[in-house]
Amino acid sequence: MNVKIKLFQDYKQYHDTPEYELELPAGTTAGEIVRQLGIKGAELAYLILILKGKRVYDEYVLQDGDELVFAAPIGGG
Amino acid sequence: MDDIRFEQIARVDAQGKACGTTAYMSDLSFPGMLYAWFVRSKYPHALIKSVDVSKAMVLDGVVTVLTAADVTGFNGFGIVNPDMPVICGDKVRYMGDTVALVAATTERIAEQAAALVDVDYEVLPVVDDPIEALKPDAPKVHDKGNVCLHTLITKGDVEQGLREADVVIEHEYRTPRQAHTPLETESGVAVPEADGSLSMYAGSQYAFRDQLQLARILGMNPRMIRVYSNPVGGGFGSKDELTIQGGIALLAMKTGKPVKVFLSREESLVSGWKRHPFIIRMRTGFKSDGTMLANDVTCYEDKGAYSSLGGPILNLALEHASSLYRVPNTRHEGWAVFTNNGVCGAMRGFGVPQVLFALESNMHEAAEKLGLDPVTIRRKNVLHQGEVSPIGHTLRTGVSMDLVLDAIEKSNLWQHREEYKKTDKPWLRRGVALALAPQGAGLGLGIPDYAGAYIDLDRDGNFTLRIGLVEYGQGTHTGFTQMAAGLLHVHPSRVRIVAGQTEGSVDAGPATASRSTYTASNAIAAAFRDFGVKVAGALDAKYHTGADAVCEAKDGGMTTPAGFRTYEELAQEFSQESPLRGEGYFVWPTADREIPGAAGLPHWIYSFAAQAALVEVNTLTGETHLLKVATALDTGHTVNPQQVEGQIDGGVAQGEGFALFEDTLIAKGQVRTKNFSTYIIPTVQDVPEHEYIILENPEGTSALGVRGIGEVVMVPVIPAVALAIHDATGVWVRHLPATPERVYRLLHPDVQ
Repeated sequence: MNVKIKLFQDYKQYHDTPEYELELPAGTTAGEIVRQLGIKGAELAYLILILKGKRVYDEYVLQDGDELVFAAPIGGG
Repeated sequence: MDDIRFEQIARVDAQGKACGTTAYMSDLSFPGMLYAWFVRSKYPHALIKSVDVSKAMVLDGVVTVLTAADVTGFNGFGIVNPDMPVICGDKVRYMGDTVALVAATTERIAEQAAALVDVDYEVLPVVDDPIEALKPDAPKVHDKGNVCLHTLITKGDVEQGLREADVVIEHEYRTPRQAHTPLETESGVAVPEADGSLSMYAGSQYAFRDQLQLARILGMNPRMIRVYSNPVGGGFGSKDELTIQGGIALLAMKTGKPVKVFLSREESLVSGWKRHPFIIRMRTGFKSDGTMLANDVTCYEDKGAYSSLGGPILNLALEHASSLYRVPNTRHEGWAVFTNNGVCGAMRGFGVPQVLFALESNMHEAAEKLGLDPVTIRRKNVLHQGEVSPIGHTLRTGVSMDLVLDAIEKSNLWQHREEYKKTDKPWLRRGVALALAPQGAGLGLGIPDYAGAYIDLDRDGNFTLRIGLVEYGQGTHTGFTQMAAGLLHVHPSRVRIVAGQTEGSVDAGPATASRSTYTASNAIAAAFRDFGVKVAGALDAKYHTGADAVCEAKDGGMTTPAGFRTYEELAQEFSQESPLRGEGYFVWPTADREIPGAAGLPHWIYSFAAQAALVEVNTLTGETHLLKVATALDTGHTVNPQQVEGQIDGGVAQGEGFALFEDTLIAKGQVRTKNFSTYIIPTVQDVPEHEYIILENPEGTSALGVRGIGEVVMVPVIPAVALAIHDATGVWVRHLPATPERVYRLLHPDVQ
């Protein structure tokens, strides 16, 4: 299955490009992608995963066509 | 959904608040509860050589005293950059910094113990001016230096534009360090639970973010932390960032007991977040017919000691530094600079009031020099939908600059301003002026801006609306209830709301940035659509009526392929074991292009208001009274007129405070205005008469046509007051607040 990853803010440093696609076996979870990227420490603690406006968590099983957003819950004006 | 009707009701939280039965976080009490005291720094800038808590620990009634070494997770917090220690270990950077935390059986004992904590400091020189702080030899607030953020946005050739101008207005403007002064100061209770989890009861503006910040501090799984942010006794931005939560959470987890704190007004004014003071240097060029040619802006934002939201605030100020006027050549530069002047963070308006005070003043002066009417010069320059903004993005939706300008021109105050300006005493002078403002809504490009909402059909046929957005005085929970009720075709009394907490709610982002009403409109509408799908699915499973059948709300129920069903009937069939739930999610649209080097810019949607102000100046004393304000406001589609007028009333009062009274005075890092005896806010005796002009230009990207209006209602009144003083007396006020002393000195420059 094909999944698109979109990295925002400090999470951009974990990949060459802020947006990329992955071919993944069925059953891959969001948490496995977090671990693949090597996000650790305070940045891991402040990470949120968003799918079409919905917060998802490590155990979420990715689906073909998903766009998974990695971001910190920072605000703006 | 164009025909949605919002049933008008009293605020859903009115009775409890009006009767005093609502339990705020500062009212809460738990068995065995301890009281916290934050040991604050003695100096605005110093190294910590040692902290000795031995004397405090042995005081009878003291349960624990924590230092930086006791922080179990990451010792820092901050929405953007976690550079503010929960407990300082090696250095303090402002008078509100925490060097130790005490938990004791009474508040009095905790306070006494705090005085026994012995801290050995090495005092450092203070830097208290953002421009001085940029110099290479300035004392460094942080090891990396004093620049929190530098942003430069350019379009066209600003120097060429200024050369071609017939008139160039150039001035420096200064704005105050306004305090939020919510009725309820920072307070809360942290409760450790038997299963090792933590419940946090503390007024704030985004429970789901507090949960993550607390998890980071405690080194805990965020799902072991429950955050209850409502009810909030006022915020205005001061409770967007964490305040006391990290400290009481550490104490609660250490002691295993509930720990409460409720800051005094003095401690709140010394340690709490403030509006960033700006120094703004602005050169604006106009052709002789009033056409804007160029605007060259440099902003220095006094960040105070820690980052919090200073970067996004600077950037939003730069986005608005030429307003939404047609300016072909712009150079907007800004510096967010660390100093030892307290801490500054989010506050209603988020940088926009500061820059629009400068721009609208330059605009007014240009009109005067060119012999143009203040409405005419603005009308010549306002942008319309489809045009390109001063920072280069295309305005794609709902631009109402011209509508609010036209409306304010037709206001009673503006039309009859010469009559209003008459006085019967020669030392009293009256003036009228107007100003215009857009206010970017939402979090802006590059910051995911999303929301969810649930609509549950409960067992009894009534509904529960679940949405994370916090209510802190805006009236939003009333509005959300009206929205859901309108969509479902039921009276709002049949909709219960669970919101502003991580438990039983759903993340809908922060209650900031004029985003709640608009965001909720789309999330709730999506949940409503999904609810219809779920009803169709449930009927199909039972009666084989077709899963794709359309179910529409009507008169307290739904028309379905199985016939009309009341919600009670649907609940009887489908909600007895668990509620039939509609889930809705929404992602904000974003602007068409990024602004390089300016995260969070630009915005897709703006709020719009124009305001005219009538002031009376006593030329013998400099004292200025704001007598009347007219507000023309585009709500998109008004959900609750009473709440809109309430927002205008409050916004005008807060703008009046900015313009005339309020400033947290800090000298060499020491706060001089520690209570309401010296920090002056408008009272009911000061607020003006209001003229409300509500316009409805439905926002096309909202399912219900609505816009946020909470911030913009305080913006134009600020320059309008300053310019009305000019209209009354001839002097230009370029440093706010326009206190009697300042106005007197402008009127009498020769008096020593």
